[in-house]
Amino acid sequence: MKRMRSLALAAWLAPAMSAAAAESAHELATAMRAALRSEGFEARIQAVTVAPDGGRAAPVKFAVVGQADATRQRLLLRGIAPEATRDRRLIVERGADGCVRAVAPAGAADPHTPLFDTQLVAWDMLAPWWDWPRQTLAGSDQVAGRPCALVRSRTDAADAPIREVLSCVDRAAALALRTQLYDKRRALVRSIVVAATLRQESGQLAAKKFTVAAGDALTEAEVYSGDEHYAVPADAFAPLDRQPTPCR
Amino acid sequence: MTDASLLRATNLALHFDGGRTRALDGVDLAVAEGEFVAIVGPSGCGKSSLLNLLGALDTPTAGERYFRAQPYAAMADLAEFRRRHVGFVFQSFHLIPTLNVLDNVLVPSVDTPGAAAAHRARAHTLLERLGLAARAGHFPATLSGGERQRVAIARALINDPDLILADEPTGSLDSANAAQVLDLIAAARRERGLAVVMVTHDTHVSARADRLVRLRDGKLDAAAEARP
Amino acid sequence: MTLFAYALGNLRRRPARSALTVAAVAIGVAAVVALTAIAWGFEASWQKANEARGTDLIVTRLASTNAMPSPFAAEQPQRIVAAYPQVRAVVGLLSEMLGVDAGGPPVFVFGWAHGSFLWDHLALKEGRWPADDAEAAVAIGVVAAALLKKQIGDTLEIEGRRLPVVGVFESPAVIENGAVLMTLAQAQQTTDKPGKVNVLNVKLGNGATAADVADFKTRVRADLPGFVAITSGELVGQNTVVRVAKAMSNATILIAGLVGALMVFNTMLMSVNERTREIGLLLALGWRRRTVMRLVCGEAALLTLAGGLLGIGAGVALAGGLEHLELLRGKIDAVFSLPFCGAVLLLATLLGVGGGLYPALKAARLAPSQALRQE
Repeated sequence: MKRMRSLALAAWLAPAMSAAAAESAHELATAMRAALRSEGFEARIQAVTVAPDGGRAAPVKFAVVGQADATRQRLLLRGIAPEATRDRRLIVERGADGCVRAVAPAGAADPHTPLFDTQLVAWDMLAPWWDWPRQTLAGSDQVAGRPCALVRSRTDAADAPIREVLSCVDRAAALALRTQLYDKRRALVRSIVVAATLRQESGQLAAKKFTVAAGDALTEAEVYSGDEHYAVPADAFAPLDRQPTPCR
Repeated sequence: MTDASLLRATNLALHFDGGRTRALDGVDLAVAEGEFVAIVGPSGCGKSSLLNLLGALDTPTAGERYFRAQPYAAMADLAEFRRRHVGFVFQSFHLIPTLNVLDNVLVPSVDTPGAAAAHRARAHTLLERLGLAARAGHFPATLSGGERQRVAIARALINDPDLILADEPTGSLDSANAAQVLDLIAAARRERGLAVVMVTHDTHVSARADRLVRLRDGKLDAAAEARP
Repeated sequence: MTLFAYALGNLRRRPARSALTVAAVAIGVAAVVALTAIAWGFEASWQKANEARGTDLIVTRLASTNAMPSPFAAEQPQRIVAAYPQVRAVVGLLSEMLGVDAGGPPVFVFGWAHGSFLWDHLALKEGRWPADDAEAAVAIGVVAAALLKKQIGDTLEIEGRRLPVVGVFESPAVIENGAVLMTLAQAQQTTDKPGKVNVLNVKLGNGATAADVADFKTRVRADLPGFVAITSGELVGQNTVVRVAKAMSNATILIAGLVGALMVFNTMLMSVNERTREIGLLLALGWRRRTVMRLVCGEAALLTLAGGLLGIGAGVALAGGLEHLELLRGKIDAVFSLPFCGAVLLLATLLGVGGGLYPALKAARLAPSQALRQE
């Protein structure tokens, strides 16, 4: 009798708890999305790719200019050095509908393509998974001794290269300390881990050093310069407006 | 009645382990100025304990000690008493291995008032008197047993004491060196009017004493006290 | 015979143990000296740079705790500050730590308003200065020239721009000697910060008093929310890197002091235990207890004095060596002062005496008769 009462209680509570947990996960996802808002910023990143044998490629520098409001986020990525990278550009956008588009000087581009011969991917920088409908809390973990909450984000979009993202989020900082991206077969495609943070003028924490691991390859990246109040030129994202591009 | 003795001990007792071990038990002793007293007795009878008490190296469990009628208990600094009035000579010499002969002789003079140069001059004089002038810069490890004991005697005399307390000073020496050491102590007695209290097993030594004090089981064997 | 000679002889009696104790103290002192010199030196080199430039005060945004102050649009703050009483000149400056050439070490890149007073204190060793704001060219400090292996006519690649080296200069401030210098306009273009600076350098009139400085600071607080007016020393002092370096140096002082004192404590305790009979003899021969304590503490002081002197020498060498590391060259000017070294030596000696105090007390309290019976 006692056991039946416990089961009944659990059955009654489960949806409520599930709803509460889902509500909490969505709240967190909303907070993560809000943390990306900016009237304009510029960040300069140096990235070094480390081969499986430990060999280090020549560093690549590129600039990221960005704007994000409640409905839309746009990034302009511009290569700085070396010569082969200089002035190579990619513009990516995440729209209100969650659609991610990308355009390069040559035309429509794939935001999932690794940037500038590194493991960094423009699609990751937009973090579109925070708009996915299925967000659940999956416990907690630690990254480099820092506690974080695990959030699983899922999409059912059939053609999405990334179907699931497991983020370990520092709730207080609204910063994902570790992000693991999985494909439709639940195979780990990429893993992004924050190694060091910096505190912005607003008091918000941002990633200063991070690594992106994809298979055996690893890219170490560091934000070496930046402007939190960057005046984004009016025509910075114009190619995106001019060029029709499909959703990716 | 005035106390004319240099050293006087009354009812001295030294107990350990809560009284279970009685090294000394009610010993009375007086030593006159310039007197040579030999303390004899079987091993473990308390001879060295008595010497340590007389030299204020130990505190008695009971009894009083007086130096020229002044109680030891009333002395503010027993180290000063030892430094000014007592010279010690030990069986195993107790020289400091890292100091040379001259510095070993000077050890008791560290806290003694007076210029360091004056102390050094006295030390040189003593070493010369004891036939060790040429060994002043040598270290104890390079000396013979007799030479080491002569250094110890010089050390005991550096502060011009009134009393020498010697614990088996010839115990580690051969007969020739033993005789030489005794002669030196006797000479110092004559020249300075020193009193000597000496613990010994050696009958040749005790034969040269003015008075013999025999201890047995921590007590004076009054019947055995005699002049040799 | 002197206590000093006796103490020295006792230390020589156990050469290995004494040497190890001296070495431990020396390592601790060297770490303290080197870290403190570098921490102070970083602060001092910036202070020196601003003094050399003739800057009395700087105006900046202090919200960020990152290595460099955040950039801000210069026009409005500069206009406001220039109108304050006693202000003779206000000049913007943009500075960044950037990697130069592919795989090159990071160096300070300064952008100074062309023709401003910031350039006056530099001595041109070779070549010329950039002609005007439009010229995309750099002058490099003598240390930077050596570090980057560049001379007049070579080019530097900075943030994707190839800039010719037109001049080599020398500055009284080491941090400038290790830097790359261009006009402000060029620096803004290179780092994509049009119209922005991270510091406004303010030169006050010769008659400016402390009250004028205080008034200036108050006006900035009132008229420019989010901005502060401070000396460069105050700015650097609040910098996270400097605070961390100073905290590390303070922690090192604490740890080194503790370890040093413990080493000496252990050494002296072992020494006293080994010399029980000898100490009993000294007491028997009439030494005062305080003289015995002076002997033991004296040995401890000798150990730490020797370790301290060695450590100061090693610390100076270590800091000097670190200054020449590629990563740090031209960025720090290790500061050594005789009073500081003296204070370190005194502290080391006092800690040594402290470490020897308990063993000294133990020695002095020995009962002579018992001690003489020890083997």
